[in-house]
Amino acid sequence: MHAIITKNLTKYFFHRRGLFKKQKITAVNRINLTVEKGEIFGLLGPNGAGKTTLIKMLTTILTPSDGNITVNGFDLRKEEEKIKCSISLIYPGERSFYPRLTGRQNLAFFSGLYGIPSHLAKSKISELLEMVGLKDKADVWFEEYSSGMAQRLAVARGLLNNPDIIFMDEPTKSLDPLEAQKFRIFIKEFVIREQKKTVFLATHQLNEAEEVCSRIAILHLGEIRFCGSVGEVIGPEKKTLYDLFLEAVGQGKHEFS
Amino acid sequence: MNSLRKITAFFKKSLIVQMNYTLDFFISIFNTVFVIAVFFFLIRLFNQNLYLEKYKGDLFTFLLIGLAYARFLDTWLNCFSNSLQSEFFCGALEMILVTPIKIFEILFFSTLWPQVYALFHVLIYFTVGITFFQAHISASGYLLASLIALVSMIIFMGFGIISAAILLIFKRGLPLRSVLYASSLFLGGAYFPVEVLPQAFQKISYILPVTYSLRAIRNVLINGYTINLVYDDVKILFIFAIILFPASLYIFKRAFRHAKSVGSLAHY
Repeated sequence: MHAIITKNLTKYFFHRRGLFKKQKITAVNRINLTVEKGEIFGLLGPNGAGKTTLIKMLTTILTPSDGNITVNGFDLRKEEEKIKCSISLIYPGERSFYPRLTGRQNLAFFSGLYGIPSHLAKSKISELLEMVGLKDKADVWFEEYSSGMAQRLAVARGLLNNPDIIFMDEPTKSLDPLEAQKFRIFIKEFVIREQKKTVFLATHQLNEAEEVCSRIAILHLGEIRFCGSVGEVIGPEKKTLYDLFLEAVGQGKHEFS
Repeated sequence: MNSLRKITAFFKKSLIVQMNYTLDFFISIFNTVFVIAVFFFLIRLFNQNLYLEKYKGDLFTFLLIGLAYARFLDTWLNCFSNSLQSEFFCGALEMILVTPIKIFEILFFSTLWPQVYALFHVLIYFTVGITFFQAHISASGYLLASLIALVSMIIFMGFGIISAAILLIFKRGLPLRSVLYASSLFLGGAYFPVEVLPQAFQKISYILPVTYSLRAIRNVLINGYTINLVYDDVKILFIFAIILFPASLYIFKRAFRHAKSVGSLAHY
């Protein structure tokens, strides 16, 4: 069964140019994607490719200009609430929590929004904080958290409602290499193997995609330039993901533009 | 049940955040008491109670009600845009929107705490004013005055929601709020009777809901008027409420849809 299906998904914005002029910018252009249940699907692309716009549409934050989205079997236009109940979003953590609440209090707030009864929420939060290694810092104000801790708290929040599909937008952006590696192992071992979730991961770190994703898509200027399994990338020509990425975005190895 | 959990989540979050700013909490109480004391002694100094025959010549009680009302008015007009703005600033709004919560639930639940906090301040105004500064409040009028305040709350929350809608689209809602707040207090008779104003201003004051609301509340709390005697003012307030509140919800819904469509929900 498919976890995510998009059909001709399009998003354009109108950017103001001067006092009266507006310019139409197509951020995502007629995207057709299918993500299977239980896979880690990687969305790669350079800055400004449209990755965040696509994730925002899939997570109901942004209304598509055209096309259709089905998430977990629910149509975005008709069943937005049902989609929200079955997904979660993990953003880079620093700017999506309340600084003057502790990690535990932040999670308690979000569990309330998911309608989790407080006695269940309490044990669930403790369990998640332990799982992401924040047990000792659970009662410290969020403003005192390091970037790595903030990111781990974001992961805990992402698992609060036991979602079927987890969207991740540049989740290792602010992590050091060691933390990032731990995070990738956590996704593979716990989220996918143990919990059997579907993960939609937007990243511009090629090694990350290569390491954790079963399939990838390369997005450039709002269009899918490649979509397939990591094995397909290498192919008989023994290409690297880096080669494919450069090919897809139309840039030479030594260009800087 | 789910809604109750969401309300509790927002209320508890705001309460904890407020309690983490303890100094701010105590300063706000000090300010409240300080303002009452300043007005009390100024009135003693000047003792000019002209224009106040209608209110038993009691300028202090007149002002005390005006002050308490201004505190409420500030909350009603500003709480929606303030709540939205604080969610913008800490970046949590988009994360909240991914959870199964409706935008109107966010709007109303997140403003529950500011409303309770304003009520707490108003209770301090009346408790201190009556206990230490001999304010004369008709005890039988509390219920009716609360009902009039409730209708007024609906009206001004309407303005507040429109201001939040403006904030969603233009990322600035302050000018409207400031103009409404200042003009309501100045022309609506919060700190002096409307009759003190020049004729032209008096005419403007009668198109403002605050004028009817304050007059009715003062008549109830100072003169002990019953519902029959303030019926005309209350009727006008109801008309304002019936028109403004649904209109504000409609405007906000449109503004939210627009922000969601242009992707400006996280911008500030």
